[in-house]
Amino acid sequence: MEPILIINNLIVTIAGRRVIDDVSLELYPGRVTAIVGESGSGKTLTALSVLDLLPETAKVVSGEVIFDGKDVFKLREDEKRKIRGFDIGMVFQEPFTALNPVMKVGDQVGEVLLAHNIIKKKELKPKVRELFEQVKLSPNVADSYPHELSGGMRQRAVIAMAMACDPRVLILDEPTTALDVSIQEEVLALVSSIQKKNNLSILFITHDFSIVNMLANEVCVMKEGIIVEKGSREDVLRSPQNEYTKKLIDCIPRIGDKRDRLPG
Amino acid sequence: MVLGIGYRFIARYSILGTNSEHNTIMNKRILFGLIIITIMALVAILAPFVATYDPLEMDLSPEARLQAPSAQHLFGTDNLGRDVFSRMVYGTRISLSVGFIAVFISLIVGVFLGGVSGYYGGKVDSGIMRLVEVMYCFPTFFLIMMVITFLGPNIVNVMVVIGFTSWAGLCRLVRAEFLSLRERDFVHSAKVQGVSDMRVIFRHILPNAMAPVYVSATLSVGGAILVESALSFLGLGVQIPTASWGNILTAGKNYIDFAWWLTLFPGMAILITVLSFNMIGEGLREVLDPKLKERKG
Ligand SMILES: Nc1ncnc2c1ncn2[C@@H]1O[C@H](COP(=O)(O)OP(=O)(O)O)[C@@H](O)[C@H]1O
Ligand SMILES: [Mg+2]
Repeated sequence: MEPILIINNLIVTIAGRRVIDDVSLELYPGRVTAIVGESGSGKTLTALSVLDLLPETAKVVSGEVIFDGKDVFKLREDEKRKIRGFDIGMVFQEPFTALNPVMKVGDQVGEVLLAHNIIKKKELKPKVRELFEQVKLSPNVADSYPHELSGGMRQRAVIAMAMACDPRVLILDEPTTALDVSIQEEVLALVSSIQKKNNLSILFITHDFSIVNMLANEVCVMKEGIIVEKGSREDVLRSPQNEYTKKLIDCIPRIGDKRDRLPG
Repeated sequence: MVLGIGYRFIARYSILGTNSEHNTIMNKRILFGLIIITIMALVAILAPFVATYDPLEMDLSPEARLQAPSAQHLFGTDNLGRDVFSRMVYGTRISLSVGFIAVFISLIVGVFLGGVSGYYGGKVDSGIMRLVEVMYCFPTFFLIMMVITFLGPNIVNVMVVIGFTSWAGLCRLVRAEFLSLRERDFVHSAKVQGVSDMRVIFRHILPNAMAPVYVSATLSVGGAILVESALSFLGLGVQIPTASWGNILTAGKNYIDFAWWLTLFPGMAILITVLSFNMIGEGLREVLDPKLKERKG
């Protein structure tokens, strides 16, 4: 099977420091690739490079991102804008800051549809309500402002936004890190069901191997901008080769554990 | 417009969290200012019904000229026997419309240039900032006087020229807001979803940058009214016989020794109006600025 998204030998520097160091990874249609690593390892920057939305201070030294056979860095600005949100949806870590505080959430979801001209203004409202139902939110939530919603509801709204144009690839950047444990599970279940229903390809960023265990097919373990281990979920979880990977896996709380085990 | 401000106000206010001291959205100063300005606005709109005489009708007979205030002529009459109250009523139209329209123009120019400057940064930004510095170099009032002398004094020119010479402050303000807002997550989020730059600027960043803009714009309305009065006073503004507060003052200054009403009433009108706008502006600042709130609370 051909990968839908390929990152080839990507090197990115910020102020001379290699924040992404020779990263290569593949995402296959209908599958979930997880990027795992501790905070500051370069996961978010890797995700942003896929959409060519790295911070201004970051420089792509070499490497390429191939989406659907096209080199993303070489596309025109309007072609890139067509990919963003339409072919590739993205959900950020912080549901509390990812929504505009002075705009109704329904309008923010609708805006994505309008940005890609895939719907007439008249059909917008019902479509937005449908999207809210898809993420198991009451359609009435569309008329709320973000501050009226809980963290879990906001993250669902953000997922509705990312799914608005029925993208082929969804990038989730630690979508549950900021949420309570019980709500984390609900959101993950939602992601999993959407993935299966739409046969979506997901790039899932996390620092938590228990989530990898639940969702991922392939795993890339990242440390200080470098991918230190890569493989199928079974291989990586069963017989991790790298010390760092072992430490991260040791963090998974197991039933019956007397104490939390932390690395180092 | 007032409703629009109130609405944004509530949306934003509930985000910032509540503070019992300022919990009443209508803070006293805002309320005072709004009442005065509303009365002024009504007078301006309903001028033909409020005015007791035709503001241009002269009566040159000696007993009709320079009459002191009385029941017939509330604010007395001027040197040409015209009713000062009626002239003031029509002058309200001039003052308020110059104030609002001039600030509206400077708002559009300032917000657009400031927004583009802060959002795109780089060369665009330095270009616009050089322009702002040039604007700051000129003493605004003399610049306005010069341009008006050139273009010819009339009310439209006054509005346009005040508008186009007073946007620099707003531009800087908006730029600073944009610089910090463009790094916020929801802006990244909108961009990631393919929302166009113009929509990101005007639907996402701008509404979140408006609080200090409202404050500054409200204060500027008072400033613009003052400039218009000064220009009219100098004969560079609204031309006689059309009445404006400034040119009523001009006519009155020759008779200031014995016809006090010719200068007192227009002077008071300018003072109260400008003061009201400043009170609304300061009140808005108090409610909208979270830092100020902390200091007080
Ligand atoms: N806008 C930025 N400016 C400067 N440095 C940044 C910026 N964004 C990220 N970095 C740096 O790049 C590294 C990787 O960041 P990031 O991809 O956000 O890590 P992760 O998502 O894995 O926590 C970090 O060391 C971080 O300090
Ligand atoms: Mg991150």
